[in-house]
Amino acid sequence: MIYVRKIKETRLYRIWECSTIDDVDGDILKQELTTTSNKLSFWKCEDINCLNDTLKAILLSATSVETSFFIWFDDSDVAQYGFSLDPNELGKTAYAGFENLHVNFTGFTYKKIGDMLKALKELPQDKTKSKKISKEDAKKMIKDVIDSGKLNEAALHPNIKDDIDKIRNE
Amino acid sequence: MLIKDDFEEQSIERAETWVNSSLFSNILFETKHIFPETKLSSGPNITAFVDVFQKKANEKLYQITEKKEKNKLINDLKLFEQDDGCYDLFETDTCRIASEYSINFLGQILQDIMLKYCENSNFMIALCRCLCRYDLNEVKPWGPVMIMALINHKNIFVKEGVVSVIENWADKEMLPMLRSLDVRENWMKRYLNEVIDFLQSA
Repeated sequence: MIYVRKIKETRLYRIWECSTIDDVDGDILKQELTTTSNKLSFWKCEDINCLNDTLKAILLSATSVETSFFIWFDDSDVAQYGFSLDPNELGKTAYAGFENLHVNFTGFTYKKIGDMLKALKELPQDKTKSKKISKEDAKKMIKDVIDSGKLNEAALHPNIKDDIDKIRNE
Repeated sequence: MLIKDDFEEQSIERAETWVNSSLFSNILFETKHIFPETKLSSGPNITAFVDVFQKKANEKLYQITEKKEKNKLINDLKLFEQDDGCYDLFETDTCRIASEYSINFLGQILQDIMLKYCENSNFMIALCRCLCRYDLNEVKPWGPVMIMALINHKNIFVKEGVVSVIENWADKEMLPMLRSLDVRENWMKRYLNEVIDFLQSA
């Protein structure tokens, strides 16, 4: 299993640039690692071959269609850093039938946030565990969802609705 | 549009009562000044009178609406300045304005905010984030003008925002502008080079 999260590319670069996680800017912690009920939201897939469905689910949980950057951890990373998972909370995505791809990383404490930061810092920089989707590709992926009849309009965030209409009419 | 429909749907007498409301009394006064001999209920110049009134009323409505929406966005930006988790307020209002009026109307307000608050880095970062959601053809010509004004902003995160907008627009014509961008931070150099490579291969 792999666990995917959308992240701002430049913030990952800033983490990579630090010699240790002690030097990471405080703003990055707040911007990328803000927990809710001590949880961080991820989306999962069986393996890299079915990554596209997971990316579509994440794209359709957003408030706009833009260039997006994703990172992922695999089961060995989860074991290495001792992350706890809870798959019971369905994801808020408009990709119908894929809500159960959502998984929470749970039990975040000060130390566990540090472990997450370390996991991000140690992600390979050769893009074997990260991927950027251009805006055009994001539109194509969403168009696929629309054409396959799997778009759950009611689950769309209100701010993305106009963007979806434009994609539908392109 | 509202004014025109109301004039067409209502009788002149009812319109006279309506235009005497406080909001439009000054417009009526100005219009009557142009047509001193015209009474609303009769007269040969009534069509011209209505046209001028309508134009002036629309201008006034535009100004009032623009001011109201600009103040709303500035309040949203002040919240965003204190806590960037509050971007969703600004995002929701910009989406609403673009949807209720037009993207160009939103653009007018964004440009005004840029001119007045250019020194405020957080405000400018939010403007860039807002531009990312629109395609280049939707925000021409004012979007690229804003980007050209912001690309040499002293704040590195504003520059990052500008590069991000250009990446979303995927416009090769902006390659020279990106190539001439001077940045010292390694993370930003890396990102900039990625976007340049992406545009070159697009």
